[in-house]
Amino acid sequence: MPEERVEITDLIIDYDPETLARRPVRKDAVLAALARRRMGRAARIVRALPAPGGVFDEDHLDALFVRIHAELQRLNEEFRQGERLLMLLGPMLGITHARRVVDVGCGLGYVVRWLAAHRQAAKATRRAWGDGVELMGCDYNRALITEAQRLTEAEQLDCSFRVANAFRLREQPAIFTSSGVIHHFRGEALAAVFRQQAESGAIACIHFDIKPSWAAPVGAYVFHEARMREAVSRHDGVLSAERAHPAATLLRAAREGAPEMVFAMFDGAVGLLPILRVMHAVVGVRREHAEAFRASLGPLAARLSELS
Amino acid sequence: MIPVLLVGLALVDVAFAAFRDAAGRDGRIRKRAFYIDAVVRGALLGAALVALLGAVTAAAVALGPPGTYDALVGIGGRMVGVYGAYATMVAAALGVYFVGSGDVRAFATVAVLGPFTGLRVPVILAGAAWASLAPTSSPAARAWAVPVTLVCAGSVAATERAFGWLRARRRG
Repeated sequence: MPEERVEITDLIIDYDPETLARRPVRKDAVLAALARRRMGRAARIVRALPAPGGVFDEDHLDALFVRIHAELQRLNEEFRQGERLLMLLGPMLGITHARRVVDVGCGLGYVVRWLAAHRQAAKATRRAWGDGVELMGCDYNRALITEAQRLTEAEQLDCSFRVANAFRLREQPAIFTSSGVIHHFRGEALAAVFRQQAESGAIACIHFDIKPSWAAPVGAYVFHEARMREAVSRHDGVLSAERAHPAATLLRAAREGAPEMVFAMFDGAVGLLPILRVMHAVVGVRREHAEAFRASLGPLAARLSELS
Repeated sequence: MIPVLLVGLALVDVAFAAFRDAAGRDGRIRKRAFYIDAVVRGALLGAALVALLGAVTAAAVALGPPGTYDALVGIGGRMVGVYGAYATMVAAALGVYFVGSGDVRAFATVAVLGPFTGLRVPVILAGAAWASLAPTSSPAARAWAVPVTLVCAGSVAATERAFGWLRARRRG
């Protein structure tokens, strides 16, 4: 039986988990991994990537990743990912009084920068939120973080980015967020994410990802064909929808990894028309905040499953 | 009236193509000016393309047999029907997207805006092919009108790809 299929972007870049230093990746090793998984289309895409001396050209990959994430940002803009996150984050900040929000695997930091821009625009209005809250994004990829920082400076936004493991910041406790990241962690690694998050002093978390349903792979195919230019984006986008974790898997891993917190799914029900709500989120808070958080959601609470 | 409607539809389509070509290339949050610039440039290039295609059509009418203009108008009528329906759906979905909220907006995106972007080229080409079957009184006129129709439709269909190609050349 072939191994589980995996996104190309998970194979062509590698980091030392301790130092976060980039490790060289050999093209033949990636092609062999794809062959084991019987991923012919992915292999054709990988073959076209330059690899002088058999090792992927890092500059080429950096530029490719920036382009891929810019395309991904376009999808997040269209699907209003910033607004979706703020629906939950606003009430969460209100009841936890957290002073820091950290986006895990932030890529170009679209969500963090959107929050910073929105907060700036909402200042001194009835919609004001998050005064004094530090907004930060973390990613292992230096090229993406450099670009995120450049964009932040270009628009004079009040947020920051770091090449770092978000759960090892060792600074003040945070609310952790992510978008489209959590399905990259499989099996034991998924529970480990929630364990590391809790050990880092997390006050709460909101991890959005594609909601698996019969429509998700079809929808992902249509959108990635229509909106993405890079072959890697098109391939990985559809595979992400296929690999997205069901709500039960996310909740089981979260509760196993962080028993000191309570978790629930937001928009977890698939329903008859899954195209209406294409994302779901595993939401966690420290036990003492559970009741207040649900109450603070108002009508949105109907979209949140039981916090336990 | 039909030529005017076709020109209008082509210009709007090319402007949208220019928007899509620009989308996903600029990571800023606030980029209205970037998009406006892209759409204006696209519309200007579209106007130049439409003028060129208009000249080709006018030449075909001048050089073709009697009845070529009527054959083109007959074909154009069908094209307006197909493209008008497509444009109406997209315009309605855009209206819902910008005015609606939450689930309604998501529905407009997922059910119409995304899939219809993917269908654009097939709709343009299939619409032109179907329109070319419009009844005409003169087979000779049809023989002139159909190639002109297909060239015009194919040129408009290719604009998005052409914008990408032009952008790549500008970057060197």
